[in-house]
Amino acid sequence: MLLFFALILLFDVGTYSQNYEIEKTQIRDSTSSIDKFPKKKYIGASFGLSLTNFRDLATSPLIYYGIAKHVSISRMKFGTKKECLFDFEYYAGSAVPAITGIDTRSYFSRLDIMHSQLFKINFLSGNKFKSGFGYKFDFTGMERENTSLLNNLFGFELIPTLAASYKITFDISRKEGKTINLLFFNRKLRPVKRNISLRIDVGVINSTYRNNYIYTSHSGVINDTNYFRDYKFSMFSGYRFGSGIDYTKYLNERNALVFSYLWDAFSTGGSEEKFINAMHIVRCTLLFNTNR
Amino acid sequence: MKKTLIYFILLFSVLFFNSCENLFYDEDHASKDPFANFNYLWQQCDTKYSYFDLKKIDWNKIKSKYYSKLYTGMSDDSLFNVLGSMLKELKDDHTNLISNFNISYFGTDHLGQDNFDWRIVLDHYLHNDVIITVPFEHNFIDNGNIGYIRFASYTGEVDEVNLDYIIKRYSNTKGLIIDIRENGGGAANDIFTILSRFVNTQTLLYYSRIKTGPGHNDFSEPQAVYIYPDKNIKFLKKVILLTDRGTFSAGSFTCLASKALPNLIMIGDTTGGGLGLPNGGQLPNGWTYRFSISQALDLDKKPDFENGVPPDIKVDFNWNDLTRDEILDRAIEELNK
Repeated sequence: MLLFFALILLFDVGTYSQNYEIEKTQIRDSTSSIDKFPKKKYIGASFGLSLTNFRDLATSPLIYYGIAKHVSISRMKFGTKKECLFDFEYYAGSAVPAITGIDTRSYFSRLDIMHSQLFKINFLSGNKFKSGFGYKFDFTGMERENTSLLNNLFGFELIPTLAASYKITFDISRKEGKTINLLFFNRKLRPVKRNISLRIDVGVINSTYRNNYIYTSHSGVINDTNYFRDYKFSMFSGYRFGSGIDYTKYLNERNALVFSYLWDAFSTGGSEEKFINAMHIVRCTLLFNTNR
Repeated sequence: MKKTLIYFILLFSVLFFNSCENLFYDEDHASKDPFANFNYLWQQCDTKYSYFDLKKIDWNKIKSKYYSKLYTGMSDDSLFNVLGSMLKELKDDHTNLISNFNISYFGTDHLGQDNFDWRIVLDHYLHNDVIITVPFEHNFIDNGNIGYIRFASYTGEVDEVNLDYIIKRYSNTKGLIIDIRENGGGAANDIFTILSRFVNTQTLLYYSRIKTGPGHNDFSEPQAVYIYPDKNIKFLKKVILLTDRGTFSAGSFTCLASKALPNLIMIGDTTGGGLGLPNGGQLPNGWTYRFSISQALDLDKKPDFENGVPPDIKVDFNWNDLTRDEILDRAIEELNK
């Protein structure tokens, strides 16, 4: 299992590094080949909130609902032919079941490491819109603590997913300034570059690393410090979907502001031990252009 | 107009995909219905409890017995009584139903007489002079010949500092008495931290197996459990464990392990059991529960000590004489042999 993760990460980092190295070489060689490689590079810093719900059938039939704080840092490259993303996302919050008369709360945190590449589909693109198809690798780790569940208070899973991705981006820029006449005052609107995009991710390889049938860790009574000894990796287990809307407004020639609504949901396989998590994320991202 | 259409399509797409969330959840199982909660708890026990065969429990028969007590509209209190009583049939103090107004339990300590009174030990053996090395209370007894250590709970605080102190202090005595009567258990790691001071070589203590499937006999292969000698100071002379029916869970595990260590002797009463590791879960109405999901096996790979680990020397308390602790007296006699 570790070899699988290592290979995926090496592939991601290798691909990302290769893109960068090729770009450096080609920019020096030929201006015509610049179009093939990423033109605009950004570092993004995001913050937001996530409406989260989850259910872990291994310990409880109840759906827990809560809000998580969200931060992320990303590296993006946008070109005319290709788009690359490397993203670290972190969520932390607490959740309660929607049932009255009990006092139980689950504290959770989640880390997502993502890498995505999208390639332009020419026949689905035009002057004012662009379609891209590619992949997204999402390595999700989630942990929960709920003292009400006694010896099962700690829940942990790793959900690595390789997804097929599609994204369509519409250019909704205002090319010329205009004046809006309102009742008591006039507002002059300047030209602004902006776009709106919709992205869909469908899990193709949905893997899980999760505890076994009985869920409770056996390690304490067998004098073993390996808490994860009974955890099991399943290469193909469950399913995952995601979608998102991004509204990007370029502030000047370099930086941009992105307002996003994202949705991500996954379910592990099995019946009695199924774990389901869904997140509705609202966030704001500051994109800092790093082109020299 | 074009932009409005774009916004509408995008919003519709997001709402459409978000509605797919219902596919993930099929249905919400939250319910206060007594029948739903009863069936859920019975089913969870049926597929995960580990001692049906040993305790000769006919779980289907128990279902029929308690299902007939349910009725629509019954109060939470009544439902708790039914579910709690059903769990009591497992005769296991690792089995509890917990609501915000009550906790059900079996009470294995009531299977035998009361065999411990700390005040008697404090007044007549320690003379109210106790050293508190958390989590232990201890001092010399029998004119300084023996070290007495009261260990009331496995708090997870046993470490090399407190053990080094205690073992050094009593290293020149004839032996140690570790009193784990009415010790309801706790952190399992304390078991191995303590026992590692009483062995010189790697020693097989017992076996353990965990439920791996819904059948009553679906278990993993027995996992051998070893103790390894600690690198710090050890005590290799006689150690007496004082036990009673209130010695439960981690206390019982310690007693089970003592059967594999020739320098450890159990004196007192049979322990309360609790050799199954308890899990934790939640009902559709939010109440929580736990029950045993593993078995500890002796060196012959038998699970029988779940009914209590028997002492090597059986002694009962005499409540007609509140100046003596007969179990402690017998331990002192054993160490003076």
